[in-house]
Amino acid sequence: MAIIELKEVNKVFRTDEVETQALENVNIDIEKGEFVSIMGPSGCGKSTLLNIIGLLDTPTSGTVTIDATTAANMSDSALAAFRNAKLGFVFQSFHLINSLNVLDNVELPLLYRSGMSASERTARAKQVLERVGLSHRMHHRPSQLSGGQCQRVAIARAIAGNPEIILADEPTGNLDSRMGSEVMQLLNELNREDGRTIVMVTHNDEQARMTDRIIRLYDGRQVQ
Amino acid sequence: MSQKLLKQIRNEWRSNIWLCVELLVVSVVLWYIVDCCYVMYTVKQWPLGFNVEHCYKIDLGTVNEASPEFIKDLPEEHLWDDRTELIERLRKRPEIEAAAFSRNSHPYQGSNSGGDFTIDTLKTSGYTILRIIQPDFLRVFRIGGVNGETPEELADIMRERCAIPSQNLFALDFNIYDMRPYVGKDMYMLGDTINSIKVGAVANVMRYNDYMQGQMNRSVFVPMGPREHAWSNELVVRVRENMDHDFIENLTADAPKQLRVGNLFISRIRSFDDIRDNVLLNSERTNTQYMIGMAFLLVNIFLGLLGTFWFRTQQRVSDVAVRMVNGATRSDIFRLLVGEGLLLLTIVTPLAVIIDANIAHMELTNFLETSSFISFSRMLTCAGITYALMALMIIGGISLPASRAMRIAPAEALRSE
Amino acid sequence: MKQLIKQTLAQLRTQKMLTTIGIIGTALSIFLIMVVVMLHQVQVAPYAPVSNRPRMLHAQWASVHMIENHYYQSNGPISTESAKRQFGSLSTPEAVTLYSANITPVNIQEAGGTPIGTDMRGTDENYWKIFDFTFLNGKPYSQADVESAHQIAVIDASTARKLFGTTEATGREFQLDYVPYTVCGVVRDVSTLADGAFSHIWIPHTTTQEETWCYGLMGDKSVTILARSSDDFDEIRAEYERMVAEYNKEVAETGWEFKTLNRPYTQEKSVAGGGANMEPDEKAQRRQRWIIYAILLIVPAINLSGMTESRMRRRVEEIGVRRAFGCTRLQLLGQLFGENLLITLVAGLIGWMMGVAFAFFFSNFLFADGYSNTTTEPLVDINMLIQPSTLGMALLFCFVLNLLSSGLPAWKASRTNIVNAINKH
Repeated sequence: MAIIELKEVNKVFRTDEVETQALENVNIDIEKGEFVSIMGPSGCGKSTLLNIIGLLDTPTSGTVTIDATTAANMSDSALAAFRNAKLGFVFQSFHLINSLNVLDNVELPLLYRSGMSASERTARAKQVLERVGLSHRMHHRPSQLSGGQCQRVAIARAIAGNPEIILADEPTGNLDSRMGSEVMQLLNELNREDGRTIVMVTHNDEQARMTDRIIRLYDGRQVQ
Repeated sequence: MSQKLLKQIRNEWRSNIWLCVELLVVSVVLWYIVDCCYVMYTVKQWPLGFNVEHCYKIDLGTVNEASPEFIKDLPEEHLWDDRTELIERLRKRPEIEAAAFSRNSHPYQGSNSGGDFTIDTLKTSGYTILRIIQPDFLRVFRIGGVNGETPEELADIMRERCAIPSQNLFALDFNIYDMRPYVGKDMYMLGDTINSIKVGAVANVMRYNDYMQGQMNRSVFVPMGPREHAWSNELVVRVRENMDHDFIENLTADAPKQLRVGNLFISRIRSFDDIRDNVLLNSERTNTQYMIGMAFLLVNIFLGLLGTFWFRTQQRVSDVAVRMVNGATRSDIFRLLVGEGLLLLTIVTPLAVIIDANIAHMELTNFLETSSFISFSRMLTCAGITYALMALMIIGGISLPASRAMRIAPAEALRSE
Repeated sequence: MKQLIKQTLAQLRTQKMLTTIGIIGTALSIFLIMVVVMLHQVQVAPYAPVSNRPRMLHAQWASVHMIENHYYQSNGPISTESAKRQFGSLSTPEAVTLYSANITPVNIQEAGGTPIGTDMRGTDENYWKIFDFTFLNGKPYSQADVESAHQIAVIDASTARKLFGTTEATGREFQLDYVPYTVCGVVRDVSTLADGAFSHIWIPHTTTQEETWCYGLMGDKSVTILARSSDDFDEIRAEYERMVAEYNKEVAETGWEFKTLNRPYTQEKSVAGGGANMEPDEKAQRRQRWIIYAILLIVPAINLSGMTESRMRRRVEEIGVRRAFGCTRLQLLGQLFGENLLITLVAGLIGWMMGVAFAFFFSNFLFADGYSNTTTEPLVDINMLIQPSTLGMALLFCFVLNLLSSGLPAWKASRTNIVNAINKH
């Protein structure tokens, strides 16, 4: 059974004047351990789709089932706990918290997990920082790191809570090609070695070809 | 320019709403305090009608029978004779200009005698102060008459056993502001319809104290009977201006030898400066509290504007830079920011004045006997002062972030975006 | 908790100006509130020699009305005789004392020396049980001393030093208004703020002539009652009402009767102002204080609220990320509120210390009472100012200020849409 299941998902944005159909009848199944990329031109609904998969946004109609759990009607705290346990996010512009150092940033998802002591959190954060090769930078602030390093910290944060699914929104979009391929390599490792499911939005054909499957969107519709 | 300002204000409406609410609340509270101060200041400006500089109060005590110094079996006349002797000895001292016994009468006395007074068919209602005094009391506190009589002349009139009412005796009850037509008429006191006393002159209003308004400022001076000073509780003196040095110390030192008469002794000497300061302490403290309250509100506006605009200029670096690239001078930028603050105040002020006027209309503000609660000039003055004070704080609060904004180097600011 | 402190410190670093302004504004507000609180506290809080204030009831004044026409009334200190008859045989209280309502200015001197003006109060022996004076040496006068009008006196340390150059003055003689007295005890100086307990010299009230008035019903005394517990207050009042009713029957021939005006009053009510002729309105006083507190809280709260909102807007991105990684709205609300509370508490501490320092150094300005009979300046010591209840009030006001200033912005921030927050750029 698929770990991510979207059935007849529609998303309509309404403002006073216009109604925009961001997603139209999208059906996607993603298997556990798959590395899937979503492609399409700007404004085709890629990010909206990712947000819906990440339970950050709700579809106007249709169902989203993650790991056999249907997200509809979940309370805020249940949603939060579910995201915390199952999902890790990587953003194009990193979204690290500048006022915290690298270690504290990586610990963030663990803060919202009950039953974890401070020392356990720190140990886990150090472990994942090691994994992304940045343990020597853990007391630095995000502003003191290069873009590639920032994105690796963000990936470390995404896997700190050991989620089964990682959602990456153009993770290499703000990076030069060398740093970009470093990040891609890291994501590949996480997919191959840990068996994590990864859904990645990208503009880059070359990177998309490195994934197991490409989902193309055009004007909110699934092309293939 | 102001159209641009309005647009800018609309764009920042969220934080401007906070500012407006704050300006409104502060404007109303500040206006209230300014109004209180206005009343106090106005009242304090009125002439006191007496002068306590170089004046002293001498408390007398009586030795009791437990003392070895007690003189037993003094005849009754010593009750008044000893006091007459004591005041005469005081008058002989070169530094004493005038001395008098009185009862519950001196300025800043919190414990007064009162009563009603009738001339013709006119009778005062409510508390009117009765000051039973020896004529020299008028010289001690330099109380003059409305016809320009000197304290000495007024005292001489009183020596003819005449009462001297104050000019405002019938003002509150009958709107009679000139008492002079009543000179020569008989006055009845304290409900006594048989014994009368002639009105000899009219005295200038002797205020109750620096902050008091209303009926407590009405009084009638009545001469003390020849023996009555035996039961007086006040002995007041005026010291010659050029000889007022260490009066209390000198008199205290001389008192045990020169000023012990019969069983009488001087128990305490206090200057009227002291007595006044003590009595006015509560009012003065209220004044200071108003000032502190005002300062508090103003500092809050200053901080509020400082904080909000500090944040705004941080957010608007590129905005400012674009303006500069398009030819705005540095002082244009400064004016733009300060103008925004002042415009907010100007928008809020009419609303505040409406609230102010309602508060005044409900008579929640302080009473002032010379103007109504909602008189135009009082509203204008107080609202004007409020506006000016707040404007100053706004300019002050915005200056710092504005001058920071002025120093922006446009090219750099745009690049960093 | 550690995370909270960390996060708060981080905020301090990134938003120096706004945080500084916030701290100054809060400190200022708490400072002024604390001054108002302390103005009231010194009048009602327990401290030596009025440590028993919570158990005290006062009848500072008494009131008599003419039976035929209540328009005629006399209000003021009661006579010793009336006081004894009305209060002397109350069975509920632990003790009852009567003492001069006002301090009397007197002259004292060592025989042949220069007179020194000072303040005197006549009391009975129970006075020393109800007020806990600190005796540096000697002891108070006894019931026997009072009954036989012994000319002995308790004086305070500063008077002892002025008169004799030492506080070891027990047994020394001096003249009080030319009457010889012997010192039987020396006590530590008392603050004018301890109302009934304040004086420089205390003597058995029987050694001076009481001036009575209104047919001997009124005189120069006040009464203070020490209850075993504040639960007994109502019972004491009821018993007192009965005593007065009985006494009124006995003195009916004078044409006057006592009105109790719900006396005796608790400490708070007793200092709530008003003259001798009316029942103090402690509720009005309380209301007035709370209005002042409200103004002192609301203005800075609006101020800080605007700034907190600004700070929150800068943190939208962070808020979005936290939410994405599983932070619930409630947790977020708690965190934002907690961060602000921490800053508020620090600022509150500064404000509170400023308040104590101000009250200590400007005590004369703050606490001296106009129309008072004494020229002694109010003595204020730290024990009077640092009361558990004052600290409690400070904490309460910090919390309220924080609730007002960060509640709404934090709540709004916690409701932000995650997608919008993250895509803010």
